[in-house]
Amino acid sequence: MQPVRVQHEFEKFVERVETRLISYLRFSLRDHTEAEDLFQETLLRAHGEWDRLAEMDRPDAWLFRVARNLMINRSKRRQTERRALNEKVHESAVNNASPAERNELRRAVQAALNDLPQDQREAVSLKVWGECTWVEIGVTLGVSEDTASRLFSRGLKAIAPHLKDLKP
Amino acid sequence: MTTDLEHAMAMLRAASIQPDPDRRERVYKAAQGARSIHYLWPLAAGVAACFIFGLGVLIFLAIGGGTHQPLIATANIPQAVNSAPDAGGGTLDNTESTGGSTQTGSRPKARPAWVTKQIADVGAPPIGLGGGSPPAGGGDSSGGSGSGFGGVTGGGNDPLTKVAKLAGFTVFSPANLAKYTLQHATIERADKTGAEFDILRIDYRLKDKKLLILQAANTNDARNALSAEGLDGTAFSVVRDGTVVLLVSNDLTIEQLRELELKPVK
Repeated sequence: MQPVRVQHEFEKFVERVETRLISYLRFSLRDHTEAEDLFQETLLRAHGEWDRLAEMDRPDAWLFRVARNLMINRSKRRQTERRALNEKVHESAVNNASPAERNELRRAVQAALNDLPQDQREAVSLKVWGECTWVEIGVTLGVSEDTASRLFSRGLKAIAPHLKDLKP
Repeated sequence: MTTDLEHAMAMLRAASIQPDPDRRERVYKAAQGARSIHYLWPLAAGVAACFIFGLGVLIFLAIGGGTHQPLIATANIPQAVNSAPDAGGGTLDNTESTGGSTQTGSRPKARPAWVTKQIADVGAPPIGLGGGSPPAGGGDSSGGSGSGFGGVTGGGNDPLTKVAKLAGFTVFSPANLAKYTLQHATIERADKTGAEFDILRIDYRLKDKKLLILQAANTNDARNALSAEGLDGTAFSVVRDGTVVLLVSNDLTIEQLRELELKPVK
């Protein structure tokens, strides 16, 4: 069985990345339930690769890359359904949010991000919640560092007016 | 604008999803389950492999694999006996195909009546000689050749050599048979003997002493027909070089019959 020490290290890792990862997934996917699923699946992958992950300098970057890949795979599988039910899914995600999360800020943020192109939305999500570097964002998205920076900038500029009147 | 961007950044960060212990717990449980499978699967794989192997063995045995071939019916094997019915059952000499078992478990084909009669005639009182007259030279016991022998199929001075060529098996003659003379050497066909195979009959005579040698190609039926078991009189049977040889005498003992040097006739 895995040593207790290793298990403890993994749990510490989960605590450290939880907020960032779930926020990235939630705002990228626009679906609460799916975000939770991918959150679990991503961390299970990390658990399976823990021996290798523990040796990395930036295991977080690996984690977000895996999360994005899982997101893309699932998105491809449900692409048709998502087109047909896009409006309804969005409403469902908002309406099914837990009472603790049902606040104006998150709703507004989600609505603002929904209007962004996928790559800009991901760049924003990775930068804001994933706390990834430009290099890591570029690697995750498959673009250059400069492109990653540009995508974020454009995305942020696009949603800024929607968040102008909000208060934290 | 910068202020707007900074404000937007602040709003985005403020919108972060809060930590949830239940969410983490679900991850830990899932990881624990995955770990159990990771460490138990070799055991499960081993159990499955053993099960499949055992199933394969059972199927293999069920379809008859691995079973031993039944022993050849040894009652068909010619065996040496003496005149006392219960005293027989010695091992065979120089048999090629058998180990000389003496058991009588299987049902041999019945000995053809013709064979029985020939054997019985050997033990019968010497009323008259069958076949040709004795040679002018008297008892040449070489057994391999003779002059003036009658009743020999094909004629000639070397009847055994001639019949040996006609027989479909190796023909043997006693090389050390003292004073006996060859009387007959004939191949009796199946329609005469009632057997399903040809039988070579060789008669040796020394006055009223007879030695009958019956030979046939080694088959189950031939071994049955030319078995010495259960015969009255002195008889010895052996399988050699693919030929069943039955020797019956009203004079020689079992040991003497056994010690006869049977040589192939060229």
